[in-house]
Amino acid sequence: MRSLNDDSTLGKLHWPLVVTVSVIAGLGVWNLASAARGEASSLWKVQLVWMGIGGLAVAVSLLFDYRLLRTLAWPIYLLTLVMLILVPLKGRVIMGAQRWLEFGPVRVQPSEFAKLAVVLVLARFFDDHPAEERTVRTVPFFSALWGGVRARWSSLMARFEGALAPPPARRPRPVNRTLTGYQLPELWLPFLLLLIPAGLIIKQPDLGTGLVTTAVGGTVILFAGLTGGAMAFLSVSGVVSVALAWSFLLKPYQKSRVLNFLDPAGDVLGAGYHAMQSLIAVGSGGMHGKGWGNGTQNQLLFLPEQHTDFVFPVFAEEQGFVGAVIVVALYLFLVLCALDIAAKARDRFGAFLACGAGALFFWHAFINIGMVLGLLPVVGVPLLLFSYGGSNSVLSLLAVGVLLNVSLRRGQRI
Amino acid sequence: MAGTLLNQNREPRELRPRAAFFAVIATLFFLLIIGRLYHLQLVRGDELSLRSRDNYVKELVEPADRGLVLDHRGRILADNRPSFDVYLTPAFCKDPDEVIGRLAVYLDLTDAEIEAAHRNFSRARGLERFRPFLVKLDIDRDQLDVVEAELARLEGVDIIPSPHRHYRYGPLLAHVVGYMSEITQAEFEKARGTYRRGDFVGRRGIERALESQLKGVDGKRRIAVDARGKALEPELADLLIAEENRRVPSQPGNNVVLSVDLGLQHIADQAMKEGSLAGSLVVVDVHTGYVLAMISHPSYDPNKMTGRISRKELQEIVNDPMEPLFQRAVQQHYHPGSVFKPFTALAGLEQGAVSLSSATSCNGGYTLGRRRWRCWLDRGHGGGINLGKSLIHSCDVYYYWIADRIGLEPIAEMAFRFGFGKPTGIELQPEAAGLIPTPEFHRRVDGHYTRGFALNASIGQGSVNVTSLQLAMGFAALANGGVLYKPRLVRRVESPDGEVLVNNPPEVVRDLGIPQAHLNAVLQGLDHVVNLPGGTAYSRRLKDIRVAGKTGTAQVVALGDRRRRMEELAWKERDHAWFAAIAPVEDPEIAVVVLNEHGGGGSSAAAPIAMAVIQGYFDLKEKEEELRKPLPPEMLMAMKPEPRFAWPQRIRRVVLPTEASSEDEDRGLPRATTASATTRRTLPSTTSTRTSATSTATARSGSVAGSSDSGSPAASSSLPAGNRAARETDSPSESESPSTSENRTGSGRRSDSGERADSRDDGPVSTPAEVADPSLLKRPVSSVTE
Repeated sequence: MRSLNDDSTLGKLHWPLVVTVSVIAGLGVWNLASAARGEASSLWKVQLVWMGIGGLAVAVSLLFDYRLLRTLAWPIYLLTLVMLILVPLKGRVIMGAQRWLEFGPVRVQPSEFAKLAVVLVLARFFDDHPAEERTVRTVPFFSALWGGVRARWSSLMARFEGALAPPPARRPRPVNRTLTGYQLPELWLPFLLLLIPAGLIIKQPDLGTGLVTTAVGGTVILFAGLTGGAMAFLSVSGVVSVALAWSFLLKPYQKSRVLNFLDPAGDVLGAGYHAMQSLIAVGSGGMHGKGWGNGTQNQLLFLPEQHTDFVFPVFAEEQGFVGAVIVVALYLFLVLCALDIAAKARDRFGAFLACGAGALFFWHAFINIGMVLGLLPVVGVPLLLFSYGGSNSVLSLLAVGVLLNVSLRRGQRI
Repeated sequence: MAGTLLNQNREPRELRPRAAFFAVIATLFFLLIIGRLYHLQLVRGDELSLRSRDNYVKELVEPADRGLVLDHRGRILADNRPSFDVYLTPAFCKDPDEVIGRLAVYLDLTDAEIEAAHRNFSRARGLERFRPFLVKLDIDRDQLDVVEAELARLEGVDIIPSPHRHYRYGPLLAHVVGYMSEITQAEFEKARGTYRRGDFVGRRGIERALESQLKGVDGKRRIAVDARGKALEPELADLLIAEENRRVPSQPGNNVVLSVDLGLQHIADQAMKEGSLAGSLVVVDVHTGYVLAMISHPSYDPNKMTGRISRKELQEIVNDPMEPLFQRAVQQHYHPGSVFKPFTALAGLEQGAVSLSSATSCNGGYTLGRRRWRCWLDRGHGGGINLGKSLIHSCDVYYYWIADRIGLEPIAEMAFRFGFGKPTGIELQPEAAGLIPTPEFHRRVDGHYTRGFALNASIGQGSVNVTSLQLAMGFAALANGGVLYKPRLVRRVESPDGEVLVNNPPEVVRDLGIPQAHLNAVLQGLDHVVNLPGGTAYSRRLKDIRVAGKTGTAQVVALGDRRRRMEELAWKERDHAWFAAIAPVEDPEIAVVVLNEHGGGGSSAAAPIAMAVIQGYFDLKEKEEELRKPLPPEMLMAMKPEPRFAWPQRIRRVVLPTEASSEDEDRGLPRATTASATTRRTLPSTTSTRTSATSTATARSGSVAGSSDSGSPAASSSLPAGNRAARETDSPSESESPSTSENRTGSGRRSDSGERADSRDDGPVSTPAEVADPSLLKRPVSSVTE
């Protein structure tokens, strides 16, 4: 490991990313100060402390090469898995869900760390098993199909026009194809590594985190590259598994949320109440918003969970379309930075780490905002860096730390 | 191994296009979000802004103050007070057991109320959970203090004040002012928008007749609430709702000034209470037709009837055999008996059948054809019975004689002229028309007409039925020189500021066109009834005031061959006692009619009540100066037209007596003490009045019982002992056959046929079929014989 004092390390830092994250986190704290007025007026200070802790952790983590994580990937993953298994046995039930483990005074939500652990172990796997380019001699799917139809047609015509001799059947010609990416049989382990923790999380039940974990892991796998056939198979099996999950896995309240999403006007005061109030909050913001601290939906408590899952409507109501678009653009920029870092990483491990971190931000942002805007059903997914929450804030800053680390060590030799 | 190392350590260029592809995908996803933001905030922004406003703006109805009802001196009879009602909203209450348990302790809830609260709570689903339900109506001041102090710990509990009608004198004016009750579905649909469900409307009396004047126009208040429905602090609410949108003030209803005099009403009420078990009393001004007092006894508490009554209590009132809800002065007609005689006499004089001096002789009866009509005095009144003497002694034969000479038609015509047989048109509805039989009536109902019907009608029996109010107006016309006025209860309607909106001047129905000489002769006879020794009411005369009057005793059931003493009869079978009076004789001012149901003789049971009221009237007049002095301060406070009802910051309730008792004594209104001395009797208890009328009513009478103005001192002196005896004999019979309205109607019909003067056969019965409202026939048509 080299010292960071070489050259101008600060100059190599990915400053656009640092600025973006700082702006998002700053806006988040500012927004929390409005969202949590009255009852929990000091929440924003707590959030600020968490951000400080997270920032410190990022600074410290930059001292170590991210390849250290490559060594630790499996231990971290296994530890997380053990904790996830322990949750239903020894966990603490809060609000009907068993999500927390207690170690003395510290309360840990293993599902949050599972997201990182899955990214780590997948990155490690794809780093260990790069996809090899293979040349396969095969009949292309569509020409095989076309050939078959033509042959059939010819034989039919031959029966009616018996006098004529049947033309010789032309067999489709095999061609050489270069396959990039993984075929499904090669990926049984990554899928297992992803689906075990995701299944455990969904069972807790924590549908939101489980979905995000799956989406993030899936993104990493897709980033590794799949053959066309694998893609097709995955699409079909995805549909089938959704159907199966609906019948066997989802809890009734989760189903009612989904059903309600499909018919939001059906039950305005039941499950649809939150969704509707959220839409009203966002919509009533208009172009310029009602101003900080003046959002009636927020201040008069019509918005549910206004510090955590429904924190974005608070911002959209008070800052309007202009403010909301700025925040969405900042998140997009953050994701694009992550992808840029992934593309320019010095090794596969770093690339997959960066992609996983980017996927983490992307899916949290997309699911959360899509949910509060009524594009997706209401599932409990926080908006990273914006929602109140200690684990979330630290987790997201750790992800930022990983991104910075990968970006910082781009030019370094291993 | 080297290969893997090589792989791991080279820059992963193959991932770059995929990263770019992912970037495009991510951008598209976020553009989708921005598109949705555009749609929500810019396209649907206005609509959703309105919805966010609907979230926090709550529109409350500010009920209009109902107009006051005042007596003619401006004393408040009915006003409004705040009623503090406790509501619970399920959506805002997390621990119903705790909250309802606390409320049960604070409000002394009954088990049924607690159970109802739990049921309402658990039954509310969805939107219903945001609708407050009533836990307890109209909590008292102490409970209000406790609940307000504990409100922070009572999640979802609200105290909602609403103006509630308050009848200051309770039962005293129940039958005049009336009461209110919740609007019915039919009325609600008919009213179209001026009422809301659950509103109260005037149901009886003046409240009903002048509903449109009293009601006022409801206002609106818009307040800002948070998601839990709690009102915001004023400074925040003011920011959210523009000032001009905050309130649409209500317009209070107009005040109604009655012609009734509270003091006189009180005196009359006392006199009726002490002198009768049931009956009616009407005092009218003879020169205007204004009703000065109107009593229907027994009464009920309109405060309770106005939405503060349990099903059980209501059932008790409705099933009370004394029928307190009945307005006896205008809704019920009775045989007038002898009080009808002056009108027969006027008919005879007009027809020239008799002159002022012509006389006949009474030997105890009058023979027409093969039948004999008995005079009430079996031994007869002797010879020289002229108009004056016939009135003084209430001799029946003189009127049989007139009727025999002129027939039924002139008598009926005279009665119609005096306003009988038709509703008077007073503000109280429904009103009984009464019944004056004509030959056509008898032909239609009985199939034939004979002179005998005229003889029955001449002494106010047969099918003749009048209301107390009609009789009072008739006597007023006798007193004022022959002008029939329309009876009025409402003198004027005033705006809350005191501006007169409607003025009801005296309204003349018709000038009767009766020669003054005839009227004077009748008046003189009436004067002698009271003021000449031997007159039927001589013993009841007043010391200082010269009163003219006429007694009447209307028999309820037909008698057999033997006359029975009053004490022998069950209460329901006893005679109705009438007294109609004019005072003072020198310059008549008021006409008073008293009907004491089943009271016995008119002289002993009705005249003392009327005399007490007349005495009270003149005592009050003497004290008029005293009454014109400033009223007690709490009354002045209450009479201020604006604002009468304060919203919560002024929640102290005005505590007022439900009855006039203490306050009136304090103000020096004379009570009917003089009357009580003469009229107090030992009366049978209410329960003993439920007797079997059917058993005795079937007894057929072979002849008409003579009328009796039992003015003899001997009869009345033996009353107390007799009443005790009657009570003892009555008690066992009440369990045998409790009288229901059906069998009472039946008994009435039977007795009607039994009292037929000429009982040739079991001919058709004469139920008064001309009465428009069948409900008026609920009570038996009492038969009369004099």
